Amino acid sequence: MKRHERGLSWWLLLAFLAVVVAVSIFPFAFALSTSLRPRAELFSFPPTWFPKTWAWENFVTVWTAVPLLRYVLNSVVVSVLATLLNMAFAIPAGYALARLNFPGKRLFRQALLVTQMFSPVVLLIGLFRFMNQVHLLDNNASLVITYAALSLAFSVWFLAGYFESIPIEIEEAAMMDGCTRVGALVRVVLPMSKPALVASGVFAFIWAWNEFMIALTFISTPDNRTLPLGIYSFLGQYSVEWNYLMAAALIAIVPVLILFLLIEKNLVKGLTAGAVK
Amino acid sequence: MPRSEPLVGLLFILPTVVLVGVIVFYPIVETALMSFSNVNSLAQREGFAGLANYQALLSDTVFLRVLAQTVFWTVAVVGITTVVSIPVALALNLNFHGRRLARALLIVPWAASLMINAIIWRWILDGQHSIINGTLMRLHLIDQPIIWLGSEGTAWAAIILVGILVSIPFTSFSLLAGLQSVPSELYEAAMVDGAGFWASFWHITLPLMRPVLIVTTLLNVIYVFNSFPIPWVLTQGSPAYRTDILVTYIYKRAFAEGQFGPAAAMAMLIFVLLLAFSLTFSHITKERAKVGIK
Repeated sequence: MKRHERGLSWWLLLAFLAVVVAVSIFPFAFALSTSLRPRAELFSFPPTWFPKTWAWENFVTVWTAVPLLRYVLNSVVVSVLATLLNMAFAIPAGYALARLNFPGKRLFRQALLVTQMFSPVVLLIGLFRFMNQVHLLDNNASLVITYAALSLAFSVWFLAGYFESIPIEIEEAAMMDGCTRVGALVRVVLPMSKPALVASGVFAFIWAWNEFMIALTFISTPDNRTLPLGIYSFLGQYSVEWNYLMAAALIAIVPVLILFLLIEKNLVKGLTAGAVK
Repeated sequence: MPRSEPLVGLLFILPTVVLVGVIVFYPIVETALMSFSNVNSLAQREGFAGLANYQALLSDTVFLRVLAQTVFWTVAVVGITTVVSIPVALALNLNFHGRRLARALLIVPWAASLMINAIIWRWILDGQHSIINGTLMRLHLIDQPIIWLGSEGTAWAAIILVGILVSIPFTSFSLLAGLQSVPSELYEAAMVDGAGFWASFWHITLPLMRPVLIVTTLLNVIYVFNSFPIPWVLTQGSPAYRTDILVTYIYKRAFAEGQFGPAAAMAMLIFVLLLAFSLTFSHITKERAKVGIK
């Protein structure tokens, strides 16, 4: 349709797009405007679209006014560990699906696909019981394990698909030269799979970074809160400091936004990978 | 050709099998057992209860209403999102200045988690002095501030609006990817034949986009059905469970009220519903792919 001349339909489509983009970005623009207000201007009436005094210092003071640093550190640790665990398990499993024959391969493939259709809330009750039994409730380790597991099926599928697209002759040549199976995987396949490894790692990271419901269920001590939980806990306060809340919310979005733009090309391919096959 | 190395293969999948087994399959079994048991408020099973938890659901009028609300919410959000996303995808596929910017801006609600989207909207709509009320009053469209999240009708409108806004990016990007795979020769041929924009949309674009529309809708149904944070942050189901969806209702029954037995029965019901839906849908998709173009 790129070559279509600029008729009425061209302009109508663009006008429609402009409206949708404006409505989509409006809450974030307003969040930014709120985050730059001094406290006194939060509930001024009539409300204004822009701050009268620009309180740039909010983005500095928010780190100490609330335990934001603590929340961010918790989230970084949980998300990074969950991602590493996810990758460490997904790489060999994806490779096995792509390159090896073993009993139960079909069952394994199907079982992974089925887990992607589970609703997290369906697991939540049983998972809560399990974490209680192994005494991991209110411990961030419970989140690391759970997040790694829940994004694992996707990573295995995604990596298996990529490994399959690498010509097998390269590995065979390496193995002829005396490389073991693991050696071929580590020295030949992985270096060639960097884009897929990055994309699948980014997905696992974002999933963990944004997760809210499971953290809400498992974590009770304020010091153990991840960032989404910490931001949510602002709401429980007697008078909500919306300027700090919005600043924290925007800070939480930034890393994800950067990662999203980094893997933009793989975004949709990744998200529909499991479902299309 | 894949090599036959059973031991290496099994060894390679072992960690995944163990982790997914413990974190995904074991909890399902545990939840299933709970749904047939008397369960105390610490989520410990105390003896077989037969179908009592399931029977309790049938006489729970709140559950039945929440079930209807969930269907309404899912259909409304997925339906409207799809209708809005088709022209958005068509527009993103055009050549215009600022196309990259439009795409980058559209990604923002997707990058932000559901919880963050919901919390920002709560601030926009919350209380008497919200920016929406202030603006509407200044324009003399309303005399009194409206407590948007306080009554059933306006609260649903807000919840659905947020649901749609967070679903548009994924849906339109996915449809755009589908559009870009339509060979441009088809359009050129249609234009030679004198087909206008709408004619080529109805007769070429839409039929070719059917597979990607089906997959996107399936994924959206699952995402939207499960999107706990939106109603949770905006209203927590108030007033009186009237803005709850199944996932928030289960959460309340289990973790606020300690009713783990009935909550487990509901969870099993969702499990069966979603699984049946997905399997039917993927079956249809496969059939379509077989008879479809290419």
